[in-house]
Amino acid sequence: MPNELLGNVTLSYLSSYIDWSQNSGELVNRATDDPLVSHNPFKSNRQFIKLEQSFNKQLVNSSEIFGDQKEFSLREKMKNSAEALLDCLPDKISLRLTDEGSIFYTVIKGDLKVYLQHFLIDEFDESDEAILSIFQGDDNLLNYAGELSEVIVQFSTFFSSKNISVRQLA
Amino acid sequence: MSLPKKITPSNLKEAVVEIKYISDLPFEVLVGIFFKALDDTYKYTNRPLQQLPFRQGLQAKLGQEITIRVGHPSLFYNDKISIQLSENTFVFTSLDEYIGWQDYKPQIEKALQQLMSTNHVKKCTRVGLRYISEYAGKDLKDCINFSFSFGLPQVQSETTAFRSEFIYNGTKIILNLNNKVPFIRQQPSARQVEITQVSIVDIDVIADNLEISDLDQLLKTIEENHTKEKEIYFGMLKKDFLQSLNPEY
Repeated sequence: MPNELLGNVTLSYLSSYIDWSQNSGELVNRATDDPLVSHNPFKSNRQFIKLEQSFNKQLVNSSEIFGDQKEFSLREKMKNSAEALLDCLPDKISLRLTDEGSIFYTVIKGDLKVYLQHFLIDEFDESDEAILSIFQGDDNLLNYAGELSEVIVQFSTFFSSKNISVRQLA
Repeated sequence: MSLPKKITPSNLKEAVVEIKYISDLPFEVLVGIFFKALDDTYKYTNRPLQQLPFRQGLQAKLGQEITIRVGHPSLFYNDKISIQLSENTFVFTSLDEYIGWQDYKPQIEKALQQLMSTNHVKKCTRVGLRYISEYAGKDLKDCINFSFSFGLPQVQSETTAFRSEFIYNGTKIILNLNNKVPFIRQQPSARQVEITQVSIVDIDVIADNLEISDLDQLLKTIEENHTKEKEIYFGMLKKDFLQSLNPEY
């Protein structure tokens, strides 16, 4: 939605200039960049719904890739990785299902591009695995592969350190 | 003053309608009842619990890692709007770009009819309607009757944030004007990002301390809030700027 209104232009100012806590403009401390307070929940919900719609649509045509795995289970797995990525308040996010039985996410956040491949493992007691790469232009800032939960920690740590580095008190 | 029915472009970034209500049932139970009451055009989804690291300073002080898990509201959506359900609150937003009041209002009305048909929404206590418009690369002074000065007249503000709360025809208004806010803009094909400016008009119309149990009265209040929002928005616009928006009456 916010991305689309200006065509291909990415907007990221709303997260820091408008308070969304009560669906009203009531003023809170703007010095914070705590996403709980300052981010636009409607944009995030829209992105989540769009990801879910895209996933469901692709799954109809790719169900053979995932064998006997239940659609409900696949959808819930997708929600977990999508939710983790949405935590960085992306400007744009999209996904596609691959022939390898994974979800490949592309995320744009400011001048950063994030690629996350989430492999949907067909084992009840095994964790899903994932590969994460983060780029700034041509510079590869982070590569990590492992269990999805570990990859999410790396992703969150990367973005929380980014936030801290730009926070200024005066 | 006659109010336009449509302007192009609308420049609307968000159009939020929030209704606070009181129910006789716990929220966890209500979600299931609302799920059953809404027709098949609505899809239900819920976002997983989010695990957030606690603030680093506190973590270092306590010497242990702390995370908090935050639940998201339940969501219903169709091809035009989404409905966010949280405790005692319905929040309506458009799913994509703003669809215009002539389409948006019937969507809200249809959903409210179904939600209130459960007879578990005992009364509605607050109706908020918030419209946020943005103007990329524009100075608000060129769009609306807006000037701001303070005790240093020689100062030329690069960015201005103005906020006013007032009562307009018995309804609370929170008006936020942000002029030339810098933001990061990136074209997908470009490697470099650029800092540009955008101006924002944020009008929040709040009818509070209500005791509405009747759907017609609720819809009337929503309509009144929308009319007041339009009166304030169009009342602020400069005539030549309004003409540039191709108003249709």
